[in-house]
Amino acid sequence: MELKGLGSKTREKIRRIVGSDNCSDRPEDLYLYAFDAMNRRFLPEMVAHPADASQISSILKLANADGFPVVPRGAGTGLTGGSLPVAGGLILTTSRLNRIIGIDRENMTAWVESGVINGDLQAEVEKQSLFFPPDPSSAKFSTLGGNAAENAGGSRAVKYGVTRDYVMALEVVMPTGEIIHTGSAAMKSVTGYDLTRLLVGSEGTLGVITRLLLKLIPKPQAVGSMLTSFPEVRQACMAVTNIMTSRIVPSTLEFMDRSAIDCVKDYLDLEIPSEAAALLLIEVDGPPGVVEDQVAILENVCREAGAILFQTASTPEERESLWKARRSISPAIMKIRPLKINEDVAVPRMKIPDLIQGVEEIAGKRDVRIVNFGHAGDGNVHVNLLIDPEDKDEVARAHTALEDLFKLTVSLGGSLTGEHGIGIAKAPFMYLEVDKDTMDVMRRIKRALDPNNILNPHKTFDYEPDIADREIRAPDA
Amino acid sequence: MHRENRTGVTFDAASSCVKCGTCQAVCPVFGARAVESSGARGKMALIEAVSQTLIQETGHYREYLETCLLCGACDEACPSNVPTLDIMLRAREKMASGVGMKTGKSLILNHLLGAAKTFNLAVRTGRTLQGLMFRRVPASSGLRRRFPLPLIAGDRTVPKLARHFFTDRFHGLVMKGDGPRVGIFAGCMTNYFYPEMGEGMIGLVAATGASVAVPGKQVCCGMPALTGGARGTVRDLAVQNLGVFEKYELDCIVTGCATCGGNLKDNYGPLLKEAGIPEDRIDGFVSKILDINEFLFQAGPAVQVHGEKVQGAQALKVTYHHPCHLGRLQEVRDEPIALIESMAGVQLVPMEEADRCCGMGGSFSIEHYDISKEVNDRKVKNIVASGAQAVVTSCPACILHIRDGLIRNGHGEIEVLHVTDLISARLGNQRSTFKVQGLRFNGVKQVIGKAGST
Repeated sequence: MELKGLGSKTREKIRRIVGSDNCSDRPEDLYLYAFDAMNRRFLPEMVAHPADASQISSILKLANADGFPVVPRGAGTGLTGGSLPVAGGLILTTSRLNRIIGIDRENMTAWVESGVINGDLQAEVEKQSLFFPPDPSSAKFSTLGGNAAENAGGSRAVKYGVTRDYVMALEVVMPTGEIIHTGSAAMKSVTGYDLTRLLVGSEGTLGVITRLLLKLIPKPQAVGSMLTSFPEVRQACMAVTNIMTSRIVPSTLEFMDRSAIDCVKDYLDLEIPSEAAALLLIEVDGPPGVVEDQVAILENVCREAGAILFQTASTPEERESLWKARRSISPAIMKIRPLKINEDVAVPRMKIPDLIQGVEEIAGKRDVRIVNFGHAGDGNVHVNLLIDPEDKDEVARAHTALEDLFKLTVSLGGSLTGEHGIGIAKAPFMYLEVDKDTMDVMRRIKRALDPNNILNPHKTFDYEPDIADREIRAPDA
Repeated sequence: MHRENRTGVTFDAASSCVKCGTCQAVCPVFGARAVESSGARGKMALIEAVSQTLIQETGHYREYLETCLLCGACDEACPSNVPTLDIMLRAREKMASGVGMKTGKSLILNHLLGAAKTFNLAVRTGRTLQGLMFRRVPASSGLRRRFPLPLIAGDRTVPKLARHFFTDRFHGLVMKGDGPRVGIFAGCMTNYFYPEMGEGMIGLVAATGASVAVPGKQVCCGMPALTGGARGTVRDLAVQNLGVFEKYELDCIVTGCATCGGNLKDNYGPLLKEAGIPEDRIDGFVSKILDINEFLFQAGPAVQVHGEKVQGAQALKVTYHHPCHLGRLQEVRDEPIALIESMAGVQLVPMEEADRCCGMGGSFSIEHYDISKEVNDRKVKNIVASGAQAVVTSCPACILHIRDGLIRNGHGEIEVLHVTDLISARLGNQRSTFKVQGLRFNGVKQVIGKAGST
């Protein structure tokens, strides 16, 4: 079926479904939902804020009947354009699906609506000494539905895993409008296909998640934080390996390379040795006595690997000052160049030194400033290409560097994206990692579930190179 | 907050927002509404679209731009250092000079506020009529509306206009002391609604041994006009205030209003420069502005409430609300806390989200009382949860709004006090330490002479 623009009759039907206060096609509102955190703009034709699954179901049935694209949107904080309306159509937000339905303390689960902010759930369950581990850096402003759709990670993944590991069951509106229920509230359930896992990480192309049953764990009693630096990247990587084989699983194991350290130096309360080429931020959690012992063991491990600094924190304020090193990176690199292309490639943990070395070579060859930091514990490294969008030549060099980076990553047995998703940002490179037959299976699944291709079209494997032509640009002055 | 030299901020700076969404986690309006138009990121997107002539400055653009408390939380949280607060002000200015303001608002901001005499007369008329328009509400000194009024919501509690305005009573007052020469900048809220707070402030400043002056012809600081985009009006007011205070040869100028203080410190420099005032005169005024908390903190023991620190049932349990324009704008956070913590008989208990906006936002609370109420309810919830008997803050506007919220939520028993109210009241209980040249706490007697142009 050929997708069309939204006609006036269709718009009227949408108004009737969600109520005229909960949808808009005024130009101001279209510009408000034209972007996400990828910071590109594609204009939708209408925005709707439905109240529940049944309204979403009606909208999707209408979309199939009248032929218009529907793009689900949580908080619009994705970094790869997953919620951009690249083909126009309707933006469908989950902002009104914002209730924590219930926290079951005994079974350690929580039912939530998909528009609940991750950080709000974390705060709520922690009041009951429970813990929701998935903690992407956007946790305070991204939705759980969005986290699930993108299968978000974060810095606790090294010990606790990613969003997918905490989703037990889903209520989903299918592209054709049926409301389905996947998974089970039972800890163990192997009834039928694992549709929960299929939908988590499907980037809003296979269904609109409306409710989630999330697994919770007991809240760790204590946290021990450490900051350590090394004169060589190789030594930091050795420390990472030795930590992981020391029978201690850190809850955080973050890495920063020299360029990242140089960026944040001025922001920190503590002195970083000038010869530091790599920095590790490490945390362990558990019962207080155990945490203390583990910190002592990790100090030995790091010193043996050649650490020239080892700082621990015993108060929340001290912990914050250690984390400042990691949190200051974004504002610091904005001072070097106005724009960063934030990649999130992942490699097997032991390949991090090869990745960092390869990236340095790319940066030199393509003459692009690159800053690396990220989740060393799980091999997920944020490679940041710093560019000035006004400098067309630099932009072009950065795009070449990006292609080099993806080829390098795949050659190391890695993955294009550890936690941000493919969206439109990485779609042109997906072929590097996924072979033709595998990609074809994905296409067949999409076609089977969304025969009219109305839900979030032109994302991931469905990428069309010319969508950039639809992007809103400033008129020439 | 990164408030280094922002005078050059332009409207076009909105395009430096990378749309990450961090601002939404701290935005009080987004917390109440959760639509893109309410957060800074959305507003930056709209401002960018206007600057690129993709949309017009009419219709909902105006409404969305006005849906902001200007609390500065987004500005502080922004990982890319986008000066959202200044961009918002510039955008409102541009809108006001382009498509114009709503007629009533324009009348007030462009004409009434700038003309001190007329404005004073208008407020006086309001005072005469308030008995007719408001009915008393039990358990509070505030007023609730009797007849529908265009500006004030029906379920809102507002304080009575004072019988005697502050500047009327202390017009041109000068009290000689041995210490520095201190001028008092009252601000409209203190002047018209809370003159007793201003009076307490005079007493406390005098108690430090300082000379006190209340320059008589001081006018509104201009903040309502600035946030409404009427920059010209603010410029005129700034020049008037500069002229009035200059005559007194002061060492510092103290205000008890967080908003006035923030405006005088942050915006008067560029505004006076635009008005062609030479640098040295600007510096002679702007560099002397101090919030009352900064002044009292520096003054030290003279205004300390001595005695034993007590906890539990014996202590007066208070919690502190950080006014946005004091904590965030002026970075005055530690001083009020230190002043309260040093007081005998007072126990400071923590409050969740103590620096989250109360929802007042000046004229915002008039134009968007529904949102303002929701933001306020969250503040009230946090105050109640703290278990405090009184909430202390440092801005008359916050006091007005928080009191309204407490009454509306059935917690009128919780007192709302300015830091100076609390210190004055506690010092009043210890008269021996609070005796300055026969000064009575509840009324300044020691008027040594008048000075200035009055």
